[in-house]
Amino acid sequence: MREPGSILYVEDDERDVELTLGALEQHHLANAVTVVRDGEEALDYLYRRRSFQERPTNDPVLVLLDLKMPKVDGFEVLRQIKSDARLKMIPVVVLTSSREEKDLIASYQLGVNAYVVKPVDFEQFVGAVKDLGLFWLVLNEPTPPAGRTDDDSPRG
Amino acid sequence: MSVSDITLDPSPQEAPDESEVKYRQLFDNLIHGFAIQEIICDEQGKPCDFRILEVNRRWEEITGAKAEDVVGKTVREMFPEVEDYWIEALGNVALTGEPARLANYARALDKHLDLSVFSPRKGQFASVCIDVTEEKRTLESLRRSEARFRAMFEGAGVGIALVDRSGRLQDCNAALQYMTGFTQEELKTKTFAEITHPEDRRKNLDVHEELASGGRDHYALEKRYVRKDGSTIWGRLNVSLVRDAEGKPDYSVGMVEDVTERKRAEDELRRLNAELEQRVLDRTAALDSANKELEAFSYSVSHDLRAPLRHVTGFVNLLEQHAGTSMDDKSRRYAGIIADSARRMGRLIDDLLEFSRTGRAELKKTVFALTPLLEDVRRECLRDAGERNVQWKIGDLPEVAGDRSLLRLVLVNLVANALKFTRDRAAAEIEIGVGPAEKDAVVIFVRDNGVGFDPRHAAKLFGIFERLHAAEEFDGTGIGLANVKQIVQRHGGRVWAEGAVGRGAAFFVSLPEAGGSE
Repeated sequence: MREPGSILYVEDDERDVELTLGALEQHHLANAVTVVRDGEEALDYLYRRRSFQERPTNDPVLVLLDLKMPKVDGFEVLRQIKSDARLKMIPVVVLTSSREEKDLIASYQLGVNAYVVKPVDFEQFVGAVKDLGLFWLVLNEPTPPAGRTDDDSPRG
Repeated sequence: MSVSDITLDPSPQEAPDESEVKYRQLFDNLIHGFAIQEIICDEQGKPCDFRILEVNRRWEEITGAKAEDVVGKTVREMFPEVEDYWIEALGNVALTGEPARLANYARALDKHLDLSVFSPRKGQFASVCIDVTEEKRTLESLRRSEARFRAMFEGAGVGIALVDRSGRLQDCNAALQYMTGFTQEELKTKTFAEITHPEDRRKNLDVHEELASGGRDHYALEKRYVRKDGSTIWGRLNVSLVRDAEGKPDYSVGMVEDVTERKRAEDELRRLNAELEQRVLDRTAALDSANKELEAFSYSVSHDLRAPLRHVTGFVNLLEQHAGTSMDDKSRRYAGIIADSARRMGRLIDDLLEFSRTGRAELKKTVFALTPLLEDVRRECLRDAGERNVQWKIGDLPEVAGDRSLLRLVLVNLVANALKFTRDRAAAEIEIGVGPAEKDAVVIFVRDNGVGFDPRHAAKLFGIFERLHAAEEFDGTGIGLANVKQIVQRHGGRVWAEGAVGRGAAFFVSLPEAGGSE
């Protein structure tokens, strides 16, 4: 089995973070998760700015994105990711409480790869997070480095 | 016996001379009636009758009597109805020899006659008679016609004026005087332009000029008049051109109806309409903003209310895992209740959001068949119901016009309800069919043999959060039927239910017909 890549998990609610990590942990997927607490931090991480200047150069294989967050919200993060030649290769999954149609439409219009509503029921929640982690970290073939067009990624 | 035998020719032996012939020709061809008569007097020497001596052809025509029948006879013999005034006046001419002109009515002939009478010899008179009956009658009818029109003119409720080609008022009726506050004499010194509001003068003068020059025969306009006291009234004016015998424009007749009140009412109506429109705009804006607020509210409910619930269920679960065997049964039961309550609240939130969403969703109407939709719904509901013994009885369902996805929700709710409330039946029976038709609507019903309900509470069934069963008995949020009612009402239909405790329930939905007028 290949080495799973890492997940960037963008979530402002610490309890959700704990629950999500708990769920991933049950399936031994938690190690690969980097948690940031708002949209601004997420963008800093992705662009290796400020406190994330020193992070390793390899990008996450998945961004798990909450929509409603302080400072920069999920839509803005999504918009910037999908309009950046390099970052747009990273799959983005919205993980939110909102089932509102307008949020769904806005997300897909911005190019989201999947939209998951956080189930209220814990077992379903764990199931959903597990499925997400397994699918994107294990089943799905990530973008090969050769497909990346940014300058600081080595070409193959 | 000829005329000349009696009077004009006293010597019948002699052949008529030349002047006699001329006279006869003249006599016979005279265009007026001519007669010579001799008076007959009573004992007092007063004329009481005439003997007819001679008449010409025209006289025959006027009287309708033939010469041979009347000559030699008396007037009273021939015309018993003759009035005494004729006898008196004509007799007088014969007696006095004074010529006279008599014009009067002759009852015997039903004619108006105009007679020039002279006396050719003592005791006789000759009359030249003109039949003026036609003229008399024409004049009379003219007089009556004039009287009639004058009465109409004066008595008319609308103002009427005769206007000469220069625009001057030649004549006007009482109504116009009343309307304008001017007397007849004052109006006769004015032109119509002078009593017209300055702002309306130009257009009136222009169109009147066209009329006066024969370019048109009629015009109508609404304009303002300035009354003598300076106040303004609105008039609806109708002007017709009167042409002379040669067809040239002669004068015009204007009729004015006072429409001040109507104008005022129209203005008021316009004002009210504008106000109403503004109010509708204001209300729409208020509604829009209320809707926006509601949307924002439900958005925040959707997002923010669910998160803590998720944490409740999540951490209760983690607690159970963490405590493991150190948790006693009672604690475990409490934890279960906490988790279950949170789950139920989650469903409540979801259903409420759904209710709010369907209330706001725009109706996307199409015409579609219910049968395949019902099949689809039934499969979905059965999947949730698991292994159940259900006898289905599905009728022949029609096409309906409406929003497919919303009406699907109606069917889902009704079918799921039927399944839910027959849960305890060994053999559940669910019938879906067409009820008695209503005007322009089809009625669909879903009937079950489930636990039913107390018909006294039938009205409560469709209210939001109304539940007729304890939550422990049958789960549910009490929103499903409220949603059904909301959707059906938005389609212009209605819902009702029949049932009895322990004897099943039937839910009815009326929907506009597919070919209906929408």
